[in-house]
Amino acid sequence: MPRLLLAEDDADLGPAIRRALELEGYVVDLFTRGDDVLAAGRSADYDVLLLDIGLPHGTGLEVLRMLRGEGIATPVIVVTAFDRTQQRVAGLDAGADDYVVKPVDLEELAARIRSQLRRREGRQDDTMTIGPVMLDFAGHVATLEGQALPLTAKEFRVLALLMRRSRRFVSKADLEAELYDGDNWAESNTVEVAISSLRRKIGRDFIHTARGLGYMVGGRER
Amino acid sequence: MQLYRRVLLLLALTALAIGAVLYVFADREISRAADVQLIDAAKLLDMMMQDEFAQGVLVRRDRVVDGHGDPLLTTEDEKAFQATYDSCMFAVFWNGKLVARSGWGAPVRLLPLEPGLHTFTAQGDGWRSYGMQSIKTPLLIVVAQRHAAREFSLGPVLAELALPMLLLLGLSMLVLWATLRKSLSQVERLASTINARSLADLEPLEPEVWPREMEPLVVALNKLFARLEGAYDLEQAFTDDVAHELRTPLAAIRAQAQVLRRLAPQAVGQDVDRLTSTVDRANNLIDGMLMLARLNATAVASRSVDVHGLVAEVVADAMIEAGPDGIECSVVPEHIVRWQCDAALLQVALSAVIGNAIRHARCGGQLDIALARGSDQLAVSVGDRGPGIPAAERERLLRRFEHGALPTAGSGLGLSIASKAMTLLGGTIRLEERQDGHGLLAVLTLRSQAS
Repeated sequence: MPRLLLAEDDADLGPAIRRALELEGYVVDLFTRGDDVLAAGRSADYDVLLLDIGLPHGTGLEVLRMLRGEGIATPVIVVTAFDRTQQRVAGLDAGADDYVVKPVDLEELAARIRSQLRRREGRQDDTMTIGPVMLDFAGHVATLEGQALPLTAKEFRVLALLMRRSRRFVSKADLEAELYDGDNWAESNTVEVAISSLRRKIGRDFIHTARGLGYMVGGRER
Repeated sequence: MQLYRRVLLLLALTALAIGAVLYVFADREISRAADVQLIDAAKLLDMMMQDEFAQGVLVRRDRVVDGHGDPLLTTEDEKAFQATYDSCMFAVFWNGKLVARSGWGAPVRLLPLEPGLHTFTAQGDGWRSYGMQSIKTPLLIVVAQRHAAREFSLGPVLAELALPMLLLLGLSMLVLWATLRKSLSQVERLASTINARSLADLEPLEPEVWPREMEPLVVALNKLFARLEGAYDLEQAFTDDVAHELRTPLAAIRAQAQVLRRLAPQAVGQDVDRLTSTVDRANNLIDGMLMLARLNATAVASRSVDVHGLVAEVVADAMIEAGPDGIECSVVPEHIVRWQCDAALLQVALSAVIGNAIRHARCGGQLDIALARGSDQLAVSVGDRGPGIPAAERERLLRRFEHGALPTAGSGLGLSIASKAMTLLGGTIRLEERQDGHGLLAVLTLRSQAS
């Protein structure tokens, strides 16, 4: 069972996040002081550290710098206050692997933790999951809610590009270029045909459309 | 202008006062000169009579009872005297007895028979007299002159002086007026410099650029700017801290609600969702306040921005946030549109307006965005198919914490944030009726920075 260190000095927020992460199936140790975090980070073997920047007795950044200075390479996700861009930059400079912004969305936090765990395991699996859809780029197969999702080659390429660039609009021109196979330009409505077919198979809401902007997969990578 | 009039009046009064003082002094000086003349006349008479007196004229005459002896003053002497002092009459007394007199003048009985200067009235005229006790003889010589003859008339002199004086006065008025005007134009320049400043611009004025006499004002203004800046920073820090402190308990509530959502039975799921969305609304409000507070302190940059790309980002974020709601969105044109401006501020304005439109588009489900680039301006119009806003309410909605008629999740700050950001960008925001059917059209206009 993955073990997490959670550093959060707020008496309400800390326990709430710990509870939520425990429900996700993690073992969570909660600390409220910077010096305690440093001691725990040195002695115990955690899979991911979640550090709030504003900690008493040693800020999250100081703790992070000292741990990194001692060669401790445990993945660290820094929790920063809203919109304080300089804090984020400072966090990444100090050796953080990722950051989340308060107020923390627990689903997003869970996704970031999963991502760090995957990296820690060094599992270079060539797959990507957004919402109910999992793509295996190497095997060129897709699943929907764990069930095989049969896709044509064009549909797979369109879906793969949209998922790689999720949460941004991908223009129709970019999708057409993706479908260009070196000899034949795609027919003018190939993209539309692929999209409407994908929507039929996955569900209408998985792919957003905006005329003039293109298409977008709105979900977040899990 | 009031100041001009007051200063010119003051100048005229000063000129009058100087004139009056000069007149009084001149008059007194003339009067003294006349007295001196009177004394000289008496001395001359005294000298003229010395010889006759020495020859015993009076002693002889005294014996001759009828008094027709040799005169004390020869006719030549009298003529000579009158030639020099034609306005002076005289009378000579010996032991209180009249022994000689001029052929004209005031009656002798009216003359003050005492040494020194005197004033008396005779024949309806004012007279001035000087009585002199001869040193070598027992003679009392009285010389008198009409006031009218003494008064060397200042009239012609004044008349001659009047033109140059008036010219001088006019000239000094002109110079004064021009000087005042020049100084006041500096004050006006200062006023317009300060008027042209943005709220955030509290840079001190450079004292070297302003005339020396304005220095106290410039220094005072700079002190005020410094104090204002301090107050601004305090307000900024306060808003920042308040927002930050509020955010933490809200984050805790939200996290607990999310935990609850997972554990709670299906029946209360909806209630927990409502709780979460209420917390989100409070968070939006805090974000909005924080944004407004920070916009005040924003430094505006300028570089070439892909406005189309920015719109794409903002629409993506807004659609993801709105969730799967089947909103139809269209953007024209389909290609990159570049404009020189501050990307961050434009994103703030676009987010506010597009977020607002998407919230209202839920009723009509359609959002139309158009970028229109002219030679000197770029207009981004965002139209929804919501119920629109009555013309009377549009101005109001650009202010803080004003909601439209529909209940929405908005903080009530969106449009005022957009308005503030557009002002900082040197642009405008306009709310109007859609021309193609019902709905609201928000038009953001950016002007070319060159113009």
